[in-house]
Amino acid sequence: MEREDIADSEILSRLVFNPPMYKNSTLIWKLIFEFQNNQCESLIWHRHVGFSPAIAEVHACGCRREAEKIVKARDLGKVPATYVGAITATAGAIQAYQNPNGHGFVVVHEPSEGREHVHVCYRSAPDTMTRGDKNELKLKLGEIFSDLDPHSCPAHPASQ
Amino acid sequence: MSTAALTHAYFDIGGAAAPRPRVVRHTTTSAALGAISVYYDSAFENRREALAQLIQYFAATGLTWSDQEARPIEQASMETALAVIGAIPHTRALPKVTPDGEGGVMLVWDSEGSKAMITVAGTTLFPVIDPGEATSEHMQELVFAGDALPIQLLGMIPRR
Repeated sequence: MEREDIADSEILSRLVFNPPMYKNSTLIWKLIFEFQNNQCESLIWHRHVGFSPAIAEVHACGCRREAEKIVKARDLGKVPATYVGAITATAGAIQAYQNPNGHGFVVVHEPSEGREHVHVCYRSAPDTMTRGDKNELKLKLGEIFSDLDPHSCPAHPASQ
Repeated sequence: MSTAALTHAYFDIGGAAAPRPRVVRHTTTSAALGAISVYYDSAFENRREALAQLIQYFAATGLTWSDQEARPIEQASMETALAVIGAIPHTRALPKVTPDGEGGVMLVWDSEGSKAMITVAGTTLFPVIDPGEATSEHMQELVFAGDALPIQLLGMIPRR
């Protein structure tokens, strides 16, 4: 499948999962994007998720992932994370940000992981950035995205 | 304390069962200063203790809002973050905290126009004033020895 360019106006969503046993806390900063080991983070491209309202298709993706996590957690004897909704931004808003040291983001289509799959990555090589740079970017990226569009998945057979 | 106990300790903080704030003035005697007054703010100290438990939980379990496995914080980062939290005077605000996805801890202040972030990575601190804003300023990284907070760090932490 061909990799496509992503115009600034394209809409991208991120699935959000509550950690196991999480209750609202005033002590925790919700850091949605972690870039673990400097890896890119996954987003869903609305253009390619289907014909019904795109956010509904995004939530359907989230519920499928939740069902997979329920099965995996059950096998490991763990409590699964819960899909709670999605946050959304345009490609242009994500790529427009630059911190004072010149670091920012790039969004890249990754059709090998599904036609709707997009990666948001650091624009600079990670070894040129301090931990302060990287964590400023993570914090800012969460602010660029919308508030959570909440969703509760129907009970999955594996959870019963 | 067990991981389960820690979980309950931090997820329930701030709920209906949280202790009522209490500020008490004690008079004590110091060999150097003679009779002195010491203010003990129970709400502040309860929050400080809950943050400490939370940071220890992050070292055991991690925390993530994605569908990937959480990455726990590293031992050195945990110990340094505990020392920083313990050194914040009661005239300053306590932060929110989160693992940064790379083994470190982010301490974030964001209230009433005052924004600051300290990344704890091992024994090194990476302070940023106004992270993500046009006025963002990255201060020189420094190694924290675990004593009093350096004056430049104290100056960036918002007052209560």
